[in-house]
Amino acid sequence: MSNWLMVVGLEHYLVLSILLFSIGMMGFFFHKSIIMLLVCLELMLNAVNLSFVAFSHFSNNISGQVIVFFTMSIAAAEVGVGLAISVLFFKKKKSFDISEVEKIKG
Amino acid sequence: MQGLLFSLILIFPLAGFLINAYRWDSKKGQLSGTIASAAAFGSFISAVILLLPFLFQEVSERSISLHFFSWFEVAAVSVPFGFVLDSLSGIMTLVITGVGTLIHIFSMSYMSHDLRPAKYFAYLNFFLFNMLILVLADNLLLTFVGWEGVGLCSYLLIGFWFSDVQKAKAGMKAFIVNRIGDAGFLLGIFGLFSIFGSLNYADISIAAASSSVETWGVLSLACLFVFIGATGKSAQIPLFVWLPDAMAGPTPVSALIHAATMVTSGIYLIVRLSSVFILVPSVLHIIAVVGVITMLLAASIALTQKDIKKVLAYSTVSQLGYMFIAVGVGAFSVAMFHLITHAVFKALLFLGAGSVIHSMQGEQDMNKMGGLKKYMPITYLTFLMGWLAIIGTPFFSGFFSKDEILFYGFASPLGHPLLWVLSVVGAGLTAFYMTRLVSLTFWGKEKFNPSIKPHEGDKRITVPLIILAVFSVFVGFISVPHLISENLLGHIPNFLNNALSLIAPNIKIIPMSEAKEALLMLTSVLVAGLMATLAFVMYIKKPSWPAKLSKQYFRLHQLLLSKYSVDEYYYKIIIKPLGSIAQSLSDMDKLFIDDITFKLSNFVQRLGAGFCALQNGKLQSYAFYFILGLGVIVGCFFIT
Repeated sequence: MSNWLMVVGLEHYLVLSILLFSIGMMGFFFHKSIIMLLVCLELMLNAVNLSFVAFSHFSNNISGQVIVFFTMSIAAAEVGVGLAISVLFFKKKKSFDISEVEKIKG
Repeated sequence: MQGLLFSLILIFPLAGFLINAYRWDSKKGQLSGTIASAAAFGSFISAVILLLPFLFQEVSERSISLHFFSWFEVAAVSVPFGFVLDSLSGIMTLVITGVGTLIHIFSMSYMSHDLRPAKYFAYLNFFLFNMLILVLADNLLLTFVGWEGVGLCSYLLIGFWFSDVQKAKAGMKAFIVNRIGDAGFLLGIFGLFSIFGSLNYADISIAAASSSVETWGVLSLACLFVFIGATGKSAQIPLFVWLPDAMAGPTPVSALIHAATMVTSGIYLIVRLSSVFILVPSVLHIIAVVGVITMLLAASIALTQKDIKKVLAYSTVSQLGYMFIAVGVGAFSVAMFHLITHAVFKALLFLGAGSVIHSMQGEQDMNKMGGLKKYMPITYLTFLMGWLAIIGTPFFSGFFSKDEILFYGFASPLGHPLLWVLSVVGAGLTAFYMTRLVSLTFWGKEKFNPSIKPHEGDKRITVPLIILAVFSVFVGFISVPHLISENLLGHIPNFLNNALSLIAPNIKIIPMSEAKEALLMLTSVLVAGLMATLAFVMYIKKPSWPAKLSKQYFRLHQLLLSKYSVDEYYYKIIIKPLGSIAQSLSDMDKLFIDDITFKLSNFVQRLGAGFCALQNGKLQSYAFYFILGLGVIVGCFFIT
């Protein structure tokens, strides 16, 4: 028991990663604002990044960290596009409510 | 050169049809009629030019064949689109195009007030084309094409005035009844092919002559089926019911289809296959019996009919019965002889009736005519020729051909004295009803509405009548019985029998003394003469007799008047049960099969609707499905 608290191992990182991912996921499901959705998306990606880094560190393999850089650049691009869409959406609807999105189909 | 002329026989009517079909809605009846008549006449001239050299050739050399292309080849079957012009098809071609041309010309006047002349003449030419294919084809399958083609045209022409439901129905009836026969014909073709391995007439007759066939049962069956086909087209029992109804069509159509051409195609077919039919005497017996029953039945119905065209229609049925008797006793060329003479005099009678109807402004009831000879002398005189021919007045065409049939019915090894007796009775009935027709129409008191002014038609009506009348008198001389021809100076005996001796040979008869032969002839003439006189007395001298007689023999009269209720029995025995079977099948379809399919389709539709609800456009629910899917995959991963 004490050992588990004293030495920080892979499990701790994974548990934290799960917690962060779940928070992000829940936030994605239940928030209404598009901005908040993007934030939650970012949180989930970072949770995944964390587990990648942890695996990389504990298995002495560098490729996990390389993937993290990929993820981060893709996330940056994604947020760029997402924010641009959000701005246009706001111009059109004067709101960030995600439930409005389904009305612009067709 | 020959090939070109031969093709012209077929191309002329086809071209006439196409031109008139192209100007479908044209109102210029005169032009349409001229085109159509010219087409028919061109065909006739081509046939004459081709057939003239035949007179100077040996009988065995009289044949021209024409192959356009190979129609289809499947395994062992190879069917050429080929035609053959020999004595038999040549005679038919002359009758069809010759009589056809006159009827076309007659039609130009008869249909002058019609709204759709181009359509009418297009149909008429198309009919001619199909009829020529039927008779000229050198194989059974091509004949069947023409066979179906004339069926179609008869449907179109009988129902030409289709806005009248009764007339449209008559067209349908003709078509449907014919289809029953056609099914028989088709089975017959299959049967003959399975036996002889060929559809070509020449091949079949060669194979039949060598007589190496061992499957007699199949052969009889095949011949029987061909005969069923013939009963459909040639209006014999049990399929004769369409012909009287077919009188709803324009009168020239009746003259063309129901006297000279289509109705005789059954006879033609059997004569064409005579080399096969002669091998199966049992089938020939059936044909003779059917022929004699039809002949008597139709002749007796004709006794009481009021409609002038209906009388002629039943008369046609009964004359066709005579031809079948001739075929049935193995006298094939005699059947052809009667076919030719009948085509001429019956076309004349129909056109005469048409002339009368035309001048009576559409009235067809003979009881509302009478005394017309004063107003229509040409029609009257020509009609008299037809009348004399059909009742068998000596030295008129009908006399020769009918007498030949009676003689063969008696003397042929396949014949029977009873057959002769019944045929003579039929001849008597014919004389009676035809005299009745002439009496009621042309003689006696004028019974028509005074507002009608009967008048003679123009030249397009009278000229065809005159030509046909001349032929009705003289056409019989192409085949004079040897009893008479011996005493006629310079006459070739049995010219027709010689011409047809290869294709339609007559069965060998047992030699008979001339006195006996003359006695037979005399008897039939006397019977016919007596019956004609009786009719004359009954309808002219003592006009009260018919009414008295019909009261005295009320039930018999009713029976004849109701045409033996054949149509009603058919309705009861065949049509109604079939209708109720169809009704129950339809119910089953509605209640059972439709139900299943509807349930299935509803299920699929609801399933689709369920999936449809998944695609709601909400980003978050998509993400939810995404995660759900991930969960499922991960779950599966853990389970395995």
